[in-house]
Amino acid sequence: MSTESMSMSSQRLVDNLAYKLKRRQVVGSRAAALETLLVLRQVVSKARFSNIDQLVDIIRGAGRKLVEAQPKEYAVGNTIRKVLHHIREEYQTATGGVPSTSRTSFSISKFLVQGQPRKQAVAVQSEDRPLLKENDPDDPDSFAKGLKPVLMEAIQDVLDELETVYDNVSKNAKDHIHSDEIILTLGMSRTVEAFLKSAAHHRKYTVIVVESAPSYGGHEMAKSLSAAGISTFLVPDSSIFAVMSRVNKVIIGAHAILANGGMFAVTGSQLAATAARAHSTPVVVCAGQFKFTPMWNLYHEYAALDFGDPSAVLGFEEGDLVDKVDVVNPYYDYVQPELIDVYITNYGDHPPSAIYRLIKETYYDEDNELDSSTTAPESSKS
Amino acid sequence: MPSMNPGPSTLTQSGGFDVYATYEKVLKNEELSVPLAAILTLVELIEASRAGTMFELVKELNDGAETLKKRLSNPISLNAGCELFIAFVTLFPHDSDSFAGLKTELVQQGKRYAAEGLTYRKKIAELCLGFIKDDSVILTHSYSRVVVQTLVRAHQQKRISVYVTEARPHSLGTKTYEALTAAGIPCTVVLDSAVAYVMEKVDMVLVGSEAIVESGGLINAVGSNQIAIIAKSANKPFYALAESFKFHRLFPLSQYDLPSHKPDILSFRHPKWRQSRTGLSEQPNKADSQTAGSPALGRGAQTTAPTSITQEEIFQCNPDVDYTRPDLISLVFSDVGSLTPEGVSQYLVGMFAG
Amino acid sequence: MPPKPATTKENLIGDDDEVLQAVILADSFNKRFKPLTTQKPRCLLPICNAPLLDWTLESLALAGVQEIFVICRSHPEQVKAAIKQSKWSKPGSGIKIVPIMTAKETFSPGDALRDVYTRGLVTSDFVLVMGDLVSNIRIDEVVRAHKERRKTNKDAIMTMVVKESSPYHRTRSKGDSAVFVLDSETSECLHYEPVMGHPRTNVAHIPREILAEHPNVEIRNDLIDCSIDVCSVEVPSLFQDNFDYLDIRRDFVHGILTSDLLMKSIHCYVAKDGYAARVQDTRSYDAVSKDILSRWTFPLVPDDHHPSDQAYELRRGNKYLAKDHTVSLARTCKIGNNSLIGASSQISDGVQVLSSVVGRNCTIGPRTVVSDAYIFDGTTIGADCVITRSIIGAGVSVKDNSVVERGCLIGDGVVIGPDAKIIPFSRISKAPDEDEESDDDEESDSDLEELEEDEENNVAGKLGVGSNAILWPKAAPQEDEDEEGVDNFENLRFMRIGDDASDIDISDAGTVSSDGSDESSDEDSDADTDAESAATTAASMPSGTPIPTTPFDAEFRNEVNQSLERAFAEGHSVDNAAVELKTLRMASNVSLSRVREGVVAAIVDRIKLVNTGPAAQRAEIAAVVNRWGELINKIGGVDAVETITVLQTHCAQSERLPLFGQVLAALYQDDIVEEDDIRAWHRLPASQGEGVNGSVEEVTNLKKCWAVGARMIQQFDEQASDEEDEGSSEEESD
Repeated sequence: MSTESMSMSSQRLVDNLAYKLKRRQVVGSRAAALETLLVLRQVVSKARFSNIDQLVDIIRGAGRKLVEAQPKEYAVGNTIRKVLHHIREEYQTATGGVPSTSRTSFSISKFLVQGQPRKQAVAVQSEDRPLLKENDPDDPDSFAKGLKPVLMEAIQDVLDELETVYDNVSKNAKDHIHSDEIILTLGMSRTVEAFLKSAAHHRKYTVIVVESAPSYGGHEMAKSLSAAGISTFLVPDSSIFAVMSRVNKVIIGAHAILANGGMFAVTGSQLAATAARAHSTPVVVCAGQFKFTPMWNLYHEYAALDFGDPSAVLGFEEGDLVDKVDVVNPYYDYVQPELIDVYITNYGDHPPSAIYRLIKETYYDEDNELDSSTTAPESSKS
Repeated sequence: MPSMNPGPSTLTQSGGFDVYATYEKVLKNEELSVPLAAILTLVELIEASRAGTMFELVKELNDGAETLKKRLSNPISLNAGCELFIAFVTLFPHDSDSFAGLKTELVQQGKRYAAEGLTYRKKIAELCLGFIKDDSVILTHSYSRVVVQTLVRAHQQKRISVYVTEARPHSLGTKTYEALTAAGIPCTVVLDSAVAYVMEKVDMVLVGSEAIVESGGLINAVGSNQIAIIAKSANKPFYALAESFKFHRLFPLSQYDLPSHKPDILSFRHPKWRQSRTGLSEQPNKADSQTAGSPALGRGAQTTAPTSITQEEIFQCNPDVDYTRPDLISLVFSDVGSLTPEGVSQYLVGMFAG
Repeated sequence: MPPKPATTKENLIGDDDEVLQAVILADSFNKRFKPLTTQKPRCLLPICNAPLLDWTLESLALAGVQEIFVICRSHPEQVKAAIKQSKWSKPGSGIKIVPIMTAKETFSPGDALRDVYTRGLVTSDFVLVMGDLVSNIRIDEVVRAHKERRKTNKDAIMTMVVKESSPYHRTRSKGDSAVFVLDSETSECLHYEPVMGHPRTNVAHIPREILAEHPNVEIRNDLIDCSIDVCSVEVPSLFQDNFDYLDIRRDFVHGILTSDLLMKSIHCYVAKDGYAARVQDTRSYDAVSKDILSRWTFPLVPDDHHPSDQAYELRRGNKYLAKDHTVSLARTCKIGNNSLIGASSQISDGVQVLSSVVGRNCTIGPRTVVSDAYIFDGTTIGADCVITRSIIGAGVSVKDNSVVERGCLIGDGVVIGPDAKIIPFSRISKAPDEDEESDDDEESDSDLEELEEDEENNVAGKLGVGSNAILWPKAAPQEDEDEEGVDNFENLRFMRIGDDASDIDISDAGTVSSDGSDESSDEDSDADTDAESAATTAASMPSGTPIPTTPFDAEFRNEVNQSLERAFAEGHSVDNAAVELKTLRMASNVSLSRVREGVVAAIVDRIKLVNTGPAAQRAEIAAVVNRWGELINKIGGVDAVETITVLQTHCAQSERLPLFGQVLAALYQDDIVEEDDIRAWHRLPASQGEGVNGSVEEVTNLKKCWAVGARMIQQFDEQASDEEDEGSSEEESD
């Protein structure tokens, strides 16, 4: 197993975070992504490896553990994929190209997947710069030593991106919200909060906040927005449809954005999006890129909605009812791509149909399945 | 399934190499799907070819493909295979020392790919597994090897029941029924006309494909389109399974843009009994049926009772395949992963554009 | 996004230099799970396919506990091995777990805590839990509150965590719960009164001083006692000092609260959010399993954070299936809501699994129905069986056509059937039974069972031909001389899985009096005085209703009688007799009202029945009351209204009924009761026999007494004519 090459201390860090994720002591996409990055940074800095495959295995091993610990916190897996992507890129620039895609192994299946061969032949040019040597028998650590600074930088890049994600998502907020508009939002999303506040610097507009039972994140949101001087209304979930006719835009957050352009978002989002569709009101989703999840079939699984404890819906003290009624308390809704008009991310604005391509660009295909043993034939080497 | 069309058999320029005979021979392998068979046929063509330059070789290949195409009533999936291989040959970075070496290299590539292509169904079956829920009811259409394999694979792990449409005119649904029942999957054959009736009980629709076209749309046995429309209206997911060699560079806008469409398909015939009663000459009538490409039928229609029509006749003037718009398709499963219909064009652009 | 728990607070705990310690009492100290617990300790019994201990450890880990001592008594090697093999021993767990093997002679939680003290395990405030806890309460917050309180009040030695629920909540034990009297502002626990199902506790008796000293008092009978106690270091030492403390609640808490010397206080933390419950008996096993399956324990739910790290897939309707695709479900089987099926289990065609838990590697044969049952790992159940509300141990084989009716416990490795018919509440084990194999009469269950139980060979027939099992005898009260208090047979029925104990509520009087012949006649009447409603809210309980006695008190009553007899015979002074009674009360740990009952009864019984006429009788009464009446008010508290009630109840049940009026008059003459007290008593509905479900005769007697009282009040009214209007109006309002 790859974890053998992970040092004890980093293994402990990974375990620790895994438990925290499991116990839901770390919740929320961004918090989970941040924690994951911090752990990964430690793991990489302490890792011993003499070629790229070993390093990838170490990170995958850590990633697998974290993802298995909390498969519903998609940001964890996304962060790991993103780091892997960066590491591979850095490796390619450091070693000057991908030896594995040399022309001799070009085949029809490759042709199908990668397109015409001359498109990628460009990278093979710069062979003259000093290359990092993999699997150096004299000094097995030399590869790691040479690569580590760039790797740390790459991880730092991801970290920086994560830290500035709210600012970057909301930098064009004023272009999306116009004066005197009525915006409907739902629950508590930090991204949407930042977005709306940023727009409020330039425009005067009204926000209708849906309280989003049973978590009532809307209460917090309404407080925060009105404190920022935005004219705010708080309405119950049941009145979403009633107020929709006056709403100019629906702006909501996401928990995870799936490859088909659909998303998981706080319960009630589907309701709001459907109501918006009935009134032809645009639905805008604000989310950081770390929420892009290269997965498809999640929405088929009932449990993908992540069910919490029923106490928020029905108090435990209602003893007689507890015995007779099954209470469900899903955290998320699945919102189909058809109901969403645009995703505003820190990488620009995209229609749902473009998410697929963005995900392809953001992650390497082979990293999409971290937890599956079939995907990584190279992992069996170490 | 390709059906033979009576017509003159032609030999290619490359000596005594009979493309069609080779194709038929290759296709005897039950496992091979049409595009793979086409690729293998072209591979044999290369082997037999005496071409000395790349230009000549490509021309021979194109001619061979053209010949094959003419021989089939429905050349769509054949086209997909041929185009893929020819594009590959043209773009193959030829740094071999000799042209003969290049040819051997190409032959090897083609054979290797054909062998690899046979594993794609397994890959798709695995991919699909995550989408099939336990205890679900699946509707499928006609017969598709990849669908059957997927269902059998899913059956190992999940409890599924399958409705399969009869899929007239070839009634290949019964073949699916036999295969699934043999595997122990509960299966029922549904009349094509009962699809809307059954849709309410269905959890998902799974169909195979002749080809996936550039728009992301699907070309499959006739009836797929209406199933997709009904599935859409019932909000049931409609999934298409297609190996990547079925991606076809074609952009049909309607059913009539398909290469398989012939003018005689669903053409109207003049009510002949009236014509004969009014004493009109037979000449235009005859011309009519000749353009329809089946003079025998035209004559037969006149001799039989004018108001009735045989099953044969119905089949003759009906299409084999139809086109399903991409907006009706939820996802396409292929060996390169699950794709949105739009995602398919990305691959086609990568191969053929520029 | 899910609601965010206080992640920052986690760090606060970490900032504390002190390591948060916890002590788990992993032994049950009772036999409620026998025979399941003959081969392994209770804390390793699986609940939702994870050992109880893992749930407890996970509950503590959620709270940020860093060091845990697991006190184990029975099968300690198994506990030790289990801990060693578990994920907790891996370096990443961040928790240090130390199994402590305590002596076999440790028979109670008190003994265990004395052991904790002698070993010097704990160094600071610690969390004390039982090894059967399932909780997601943030105990760290309780610890923080406790520490905060300790800064200002050094005497606050313990904080008990209680969970708000409702009186009839499925998770709240009917047989073993308690009434808590809390100060509304400080949430100090002022009084603790255990509540039992049988004999039914109808009355919480709250000392008067509490109401006098605390203006705002909450009397709560809707709390689940989670047995999570945040204790200060001195708690084990208090156990050491008071070697007679056995139970933490009944003895320790009660002792601390009633002690005038210790001056310590105990607080409660009423948890409004979160979940906590104990698996203290088979009934709560059922309830907690269902709570877990319906996700009250989130994030400790099978599909999210299974304590044994098994992965489960959640399906619509809270159905959980092992995620590794090894479960084989036949096409026609039906898995009902709130069910869990472990890895590699096979469910055949036509099977119905309804609200049940099936362990790993189980096989359930065709057409079998399993409802509300719990089946441990590796069990095979044949075709066409019916299993209802039972717990089936590991490796059991139930052959075809068997029926296991509700409430059965089947021990590990048992083979029963084919065609076995297991009657309700059977306990079956494989090992040869140490207890005598007697076919005892089924005193509490239906006649049908008695018939079936008659013949020895019938037993074998019921278990099936191929059976290797032995049917345990049903515990009868007279056989279990050591099972008193909460563990009396009738009360245990409230803790049994599948037992709704409805017959206890309905027809108890007859059964108890017929076989409980050795019990005093007082017992019978008390069993009669059960009003279902009385248990609901303690707040509504008037302090003067008839005080029921329990078998637990019978012994005490006996001792009071003996003590008084001695005093009567040897002519002790009233003060000396009172001191003796007080000591007795301290030792037996009973409420004041019990003592009062005893004293009043003894005094009344002391009165000789004289046949020579009313005057002689009156003189006799006066003599006794003059000599001893004072004692009633010297036993520790004055409650004249209760005295009258007790007198009435006693008279109504004894042959001294005619003496009631005269005794009352004598007490009045000696100023032991005042006129107002009599009026107050007279106004109580219970004094007229209302709400008392006793025998007809008894109620009539009570009514007679009441009439006597009424006459007396009339006399008062006549004497004091100026108060007449007031008095009579009060009477009319009755």
